[in-house]
Amino acid sequence: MQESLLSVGVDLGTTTTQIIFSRIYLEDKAVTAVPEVKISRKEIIYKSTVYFTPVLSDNRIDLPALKNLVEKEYLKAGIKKNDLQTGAVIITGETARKENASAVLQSLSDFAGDFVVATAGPDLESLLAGLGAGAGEKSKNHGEAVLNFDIGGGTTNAALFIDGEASSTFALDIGGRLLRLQKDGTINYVSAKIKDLLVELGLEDKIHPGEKADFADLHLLTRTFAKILYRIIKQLTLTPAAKKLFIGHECGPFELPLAMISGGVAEYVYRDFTPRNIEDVALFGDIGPLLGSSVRDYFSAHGMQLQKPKEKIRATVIGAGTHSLCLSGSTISADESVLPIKNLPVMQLSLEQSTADIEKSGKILQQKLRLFPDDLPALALAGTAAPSYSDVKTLARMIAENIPVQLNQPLVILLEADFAKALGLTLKRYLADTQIICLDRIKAHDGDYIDIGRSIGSAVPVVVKTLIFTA
Amino acid sequence: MDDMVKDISTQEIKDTVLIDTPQNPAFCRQLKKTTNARICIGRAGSRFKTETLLKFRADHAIAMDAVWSDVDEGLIDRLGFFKVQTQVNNKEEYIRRPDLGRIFSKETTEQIKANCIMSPDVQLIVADGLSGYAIDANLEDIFGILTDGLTAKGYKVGTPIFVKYSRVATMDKISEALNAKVTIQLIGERPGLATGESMSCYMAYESSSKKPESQRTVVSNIYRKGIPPVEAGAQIIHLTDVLMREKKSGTELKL
Amino acid sequence: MKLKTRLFDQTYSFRDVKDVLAKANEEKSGDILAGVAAQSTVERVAAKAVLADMTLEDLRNNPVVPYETDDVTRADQDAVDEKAFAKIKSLTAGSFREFLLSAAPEEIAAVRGGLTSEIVAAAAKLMSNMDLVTAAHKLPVTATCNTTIGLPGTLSSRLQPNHATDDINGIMASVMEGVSYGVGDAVIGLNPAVDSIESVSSILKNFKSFMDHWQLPTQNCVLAHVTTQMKVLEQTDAPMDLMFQSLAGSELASRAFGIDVSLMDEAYAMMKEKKSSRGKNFMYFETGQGSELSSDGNHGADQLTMEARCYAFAKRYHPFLVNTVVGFIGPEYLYDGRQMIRAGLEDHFMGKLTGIPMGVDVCYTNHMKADQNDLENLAMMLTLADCNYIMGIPAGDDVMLMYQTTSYHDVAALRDLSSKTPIAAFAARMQELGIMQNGQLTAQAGDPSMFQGWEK
Repeated sequence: MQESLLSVGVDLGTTTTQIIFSRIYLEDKAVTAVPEVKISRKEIIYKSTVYFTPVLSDNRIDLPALKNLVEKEYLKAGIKKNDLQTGAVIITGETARKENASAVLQSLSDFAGDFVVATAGPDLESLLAGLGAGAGEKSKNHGEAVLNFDIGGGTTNAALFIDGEASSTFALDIGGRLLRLQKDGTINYVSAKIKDLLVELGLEDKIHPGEKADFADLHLLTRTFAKILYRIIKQLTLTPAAKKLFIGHECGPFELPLAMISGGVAEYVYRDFTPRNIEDVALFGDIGPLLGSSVRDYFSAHGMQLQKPKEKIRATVIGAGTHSLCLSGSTISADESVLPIKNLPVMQLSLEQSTADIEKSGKILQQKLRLFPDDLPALALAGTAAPSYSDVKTLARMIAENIPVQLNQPLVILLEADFAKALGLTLKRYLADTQIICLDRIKAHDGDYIDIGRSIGSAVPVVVKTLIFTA
Repeated sequence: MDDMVKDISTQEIKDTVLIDTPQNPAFCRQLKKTTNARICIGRAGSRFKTETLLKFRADHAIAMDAVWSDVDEGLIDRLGFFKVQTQVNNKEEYIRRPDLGRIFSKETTEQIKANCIMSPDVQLIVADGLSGYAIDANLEDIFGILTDGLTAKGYKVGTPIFVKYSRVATMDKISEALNAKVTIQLIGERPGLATGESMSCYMAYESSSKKPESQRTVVSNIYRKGIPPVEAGAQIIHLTDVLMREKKSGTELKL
Repeated sequence: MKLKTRLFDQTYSFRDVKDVLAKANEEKSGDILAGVAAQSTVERVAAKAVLADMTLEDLRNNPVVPYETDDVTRADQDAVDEKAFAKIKSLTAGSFREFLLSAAPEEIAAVRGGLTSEIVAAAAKLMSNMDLVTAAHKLPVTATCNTTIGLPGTLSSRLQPNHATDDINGIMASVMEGVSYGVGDAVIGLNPAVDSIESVSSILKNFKSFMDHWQLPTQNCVLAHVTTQMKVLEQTDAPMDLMFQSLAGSELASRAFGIDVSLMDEAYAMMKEKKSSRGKNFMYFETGQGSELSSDGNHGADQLTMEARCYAFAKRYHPFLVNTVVGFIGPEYLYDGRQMIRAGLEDHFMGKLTGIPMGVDVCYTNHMKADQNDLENLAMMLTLADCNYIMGIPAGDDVMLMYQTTSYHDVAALRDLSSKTPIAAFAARMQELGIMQNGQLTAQAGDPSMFQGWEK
């Protein structure tokens, strides 16, 4: 068997908007009569131009213009909404904080296809950018942690990867378009987010709209940004104003990782171009190129080598288009008629090893289910790797006795260990009239939401949406 | 326990880097995670370190013992199997004469016919094969889910049969004797180093010695670190449905 | 031709040449299983005596599988250099044995073209273990792919980085470990768990990329079925230095492997056109005593003679590598360490006498009565016999094929013991990488993390 899924990624950022289409190939690597469906290859089949995000004069997103743009790209790529099986639309950076962001997201999500996730938030963005940049893969192949900074127009999204998995994410108000200027060097716009930093640097009078910018002042600002990123990697102390740049939460402690930069600004980090005067800076209308060269110079002056990302400006959109999906195990038990399922909340239930403890878990299950009076959430169970048959029976009975069958909703169970088919089969004996989806090799936690697609071969595609993803 | 030398059999090969001073220990640990192969083991001159040597010998020892061990017949009796033996008389003959491990005497075939349910939908057979340990380790869990699951689906399940000194092909003989539709044989696999517990399952629709080996649908690597026995059992029940529906098995079946 | 003799007042008579050949074999469980072995130790010696008296012409004229019905017999007989054969045809097998032990290497090389499989097998049957080592030692065979294997003073190794699921990171981890021991000068060659075009071509590309990045002068190969490799050549741009196939000694047994002579002719022609290697030798074959019986294709002949026929088959394609996988097949063919050692020495000798660049996969399975000590004994003997190459695998434990073969450490130790080196170009590169110094492992050797930085 070789099948493929068509996936879309849309990144609606502070400065730019991009769309990519990719094909995710699945292969059944079974050598015996037990299927083993795996993602064998991901191929990006279409990359849109990098557009400036259409913004109205009142700083809201220009929805008609955006729809027009997306429609045009679908047409150019020759892809219809119904062809898509998965993907992600994400609104990132400052754009996510615009007042009509959720309306935009909703309308884009409807437009882009049935099985498309619509999410936003700096932590998810950090994760996807790091995956798209190749930091996750690099940490897996090299045995060293990799920290990726995706430096965009409005924010810098950081993700630390250890052994291929994100161990923490955070974001900062550092970006190339937090300060914009005219061709003649007059400052147009300064983001309020960096006001404290400007004060700390003694630049508050010199850097504000209407002033002619001085090259040395701008350089001090971008050098300070670079220094903050460097000091974060090195786990050195930050000034109070620098600390205020963190969005939501600061980063936890970690061991010295390798450093990688992606995002629009990275285009200038890994290029041999250094703005020398205010004319060079003003040519671009923002401080992006100067920030890029400052990061390059600062890191190299301090002896820290920067790892090459696989993608720079497209890292986030590629992450969104190719990394949001995972596959269940291939021996599962799924009532096809209830698929696809979208936006189902997850409830975690930690399972103890022994039979007695499984029974005790029943009470906890009932208590936790009270938090979901109207909807039956997906139950995520860690469980043991190779349970005995009697444990499987006890577990099935415990679940059957404690879930509210009167809701008449499908029962979705997510296991980490590989025994979904056995549990599903056993559950069916206790809950003959309930539709059951029992999947394994899926890790999900309280607070997550999941989408489950229709089966492909003997597995189902799953998107675990971890909205709150902190250190 | 302080009076004991450390147990080398429980040590996971994947967890230990034995190179004295690697250039990059983190990279070595990373390499170890990608494979079960015994890498990053260092050396004593051009030979193994003592730990590597002993671990290897322990893993070979358990594999050899698995081959020469007999299935725990207490377990077989407790689960209610009807017990028979091929034309092989002892373990050494079993190893040397695979041909004798595929056939029964006339009397044995008659006994099978006299004591077992005729014309079952599903006939379950357990064979020792090349590892008695594999049966001891997995039978109880897989047997439970198989009998419950197959019965719940309304199949006529035959008398479970245990065959001593058995190769895979005994399933053809039993299927022919009892006129079974689907025959399922669980058999101990030839052990790899330290994997004496791995069991395989062969299934066939109207299993017959006149058909080629490709008639068999196979599930292998059944043990706690491979496909857990309960999960394998569920998959075998699923495959039984497919075989009954399609009335064929093996390569003829497009799974 | 005489088929009878008398020993200790008892007459021993044999049905035909095939019967003599079978009963003259040293004891093998596979010949007993086939029902062709001598019934007693004395009968075995009687058969050897009758065999020793047969002429090479008798042996050539009585192939164990008829010419008319078997493409391997035809390949063997049609390839005979009649002039060379005329020079030796009247020799008895016994005097041929003495010729092999006493003549100069050039003299032996001069008659190689006149031999058939049955003649080669007969010589092996009349030799003791030390005879087999002594004779093989005089029969060097070299071959050239990207590098040249088999030159005096070298002991090469195949790096066999097998992985249970063909995970490329896991495969490359074993490759890194192996090269850090100076292993892999014969070939970096994987037995794939998945026989698919996509997977095979991807692994070939990764091997090549690793070889290019670290400038390793060697060959790449993925030991999938030949038809899969042909599709890889046709449908992908994957670089393939060596093409592999398992061979058997009769048309019937070849069919069980999904091949015949004409398919191999086609594969050879395609490879000649599309290969990524430079030299004139670009095929790799594996064989092993007993595979014919296991597929009911032994035609009542013994497993040693059938094995010799594989080498005649292999010779047709001027291979770069051929090795017997001596103890893989199981105890019903080679029961214990003693039989495994004997078979390894026989196969190596017969391959060299046939004129193919012979290596040996010195190995055993867990259901044989054999262990690491038997394996090490045979590996040391073969090093003395100037075997072209052996396998190298992490700690000798193949986690995919579930058997034990020689380790990276064994390769290093055998080179130390015999003062042999890898192929010169490879050895020079090992020196540059700091892995070897004058043919010996350096202190840094055995550390795969020296290869950090290569990207797949």
